[in-house]
Amino acid sequence: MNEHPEDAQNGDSKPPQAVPEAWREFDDTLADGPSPAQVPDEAKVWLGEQRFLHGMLRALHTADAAAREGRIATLLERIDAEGDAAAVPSPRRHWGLVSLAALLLATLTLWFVMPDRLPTADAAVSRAVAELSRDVHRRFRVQLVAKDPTGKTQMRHEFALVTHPGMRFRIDGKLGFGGMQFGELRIGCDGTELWVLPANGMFRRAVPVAERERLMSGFGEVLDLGYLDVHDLVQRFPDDYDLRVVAREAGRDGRPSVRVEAVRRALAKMPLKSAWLLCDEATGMVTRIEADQELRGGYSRHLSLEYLGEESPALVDYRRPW
Amino acid sequence: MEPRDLFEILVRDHIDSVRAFLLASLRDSVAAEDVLQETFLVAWRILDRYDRQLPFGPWVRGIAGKLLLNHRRKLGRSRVHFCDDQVLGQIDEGFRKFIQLKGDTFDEKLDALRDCLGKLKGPQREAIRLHYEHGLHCKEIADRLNIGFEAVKKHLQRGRSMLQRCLETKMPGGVA
Repeated sequence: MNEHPEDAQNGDSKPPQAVPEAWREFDDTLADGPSPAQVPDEAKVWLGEQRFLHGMLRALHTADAAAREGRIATLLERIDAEGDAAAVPSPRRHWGLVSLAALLLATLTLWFVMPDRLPTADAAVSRAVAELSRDVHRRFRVQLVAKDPTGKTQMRHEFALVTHPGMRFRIDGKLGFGGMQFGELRIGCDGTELWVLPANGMFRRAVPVAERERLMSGFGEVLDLGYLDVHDLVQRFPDDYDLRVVAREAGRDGRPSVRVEAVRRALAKMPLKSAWLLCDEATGMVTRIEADQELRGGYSRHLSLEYLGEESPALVDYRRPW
Repeated sequence: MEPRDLFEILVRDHIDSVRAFLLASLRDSVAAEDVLQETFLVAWRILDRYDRQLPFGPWVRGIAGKLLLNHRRKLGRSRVHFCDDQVLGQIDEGFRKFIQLKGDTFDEKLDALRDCLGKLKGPQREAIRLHYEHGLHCKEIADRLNIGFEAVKKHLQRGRSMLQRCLETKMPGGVA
């Protein structure tokens, strides 16, 4: 611990509390070289405080009104350029518009010939699979509710899911496993490795993706990872379920959508007893999935996935954080 | 008001605090400028996800934090200071408290820090002045003050802690 007599000279800047000597080495702002790979939790409040002041002092001594205006102008130019790029059709987009017009004309013709005709369920699901296989990151809100035979809710998980084709996903949210309540928990999979990281950093684990069942069984098998690869989940529906379009209704943001009902066939492999999907008619994207699963002993589980939109690649990292 | 105009107001209100947030974690100030631009570009692209009932600052700093974590993984530990969610949360907490200080703009709120710097005395004041105002490294400060390298580090760390305590006395409910 440190005590410095000169602290008494510092006016109303109260003497700082003594900190363990070892913590000083975690402050990587004062020396070159790599920063520490890990810092003990008990040192993080002090480290965060040091870094806050470090940033403030750097900002204070580099404040420059002209530079500030310059960075704002650059940013706004980039935003406007993005808008212009989206608004000016490229030659390829021009052909895309012609194709779109042709498609619209064909659709309108069909509309008059066969009014109120709904797409087939297989076509709607195929479009959803094709859309989900695009090389983009997608964000969903997921709710998982388990009930006992009397209908009493046993557990309720709500979390954000970001997913990408190829068993890449990331979960951030409050989860409890059996009797263990972890509070904030992160689970991720980068296609090769599955990892779990509770907010307190304890019990963190990572296993090869082939051994994912082993890791999940260690957490009470409450979370079925099969649901989290949404592309794979939807792709498997036509094999195991009788599908039919039951209605046209307003989906996300009031967009025209079709509701597809799925009822499991007798010898199906998938565990979900029944489900319904809402597919956006314009994009083909599945915007909602509601599914029920029957478990042994009269227990049941309800899964709800709501699509929130595409995620910026800059904000996604599926690799384990340590 | 058009979204683009509204966004410009938000940028003007928050760009300085986000820049300071990034300077707390990135060694290279040019890299901090790049990430600053990237942060607001991402914020613009996903603006429909921003809940207008909540303050914009923590939301945009959350984006900056995610970009920092990604940069640390991509660029390595010599370019980005140690950060994880907890440390970034602590830094963000500093900014949440800082915005409660008197003043309408970030620069006006910085007056509190200027005042605290004015009250700092002894080797802590000298070390902070030489490091942040004159851009000297710890080794150069050690030579200038004729003290050891470790002593310089301690003076800087203790000086920052004193400034933090001083700022806290200026916040609503703070005891001088």
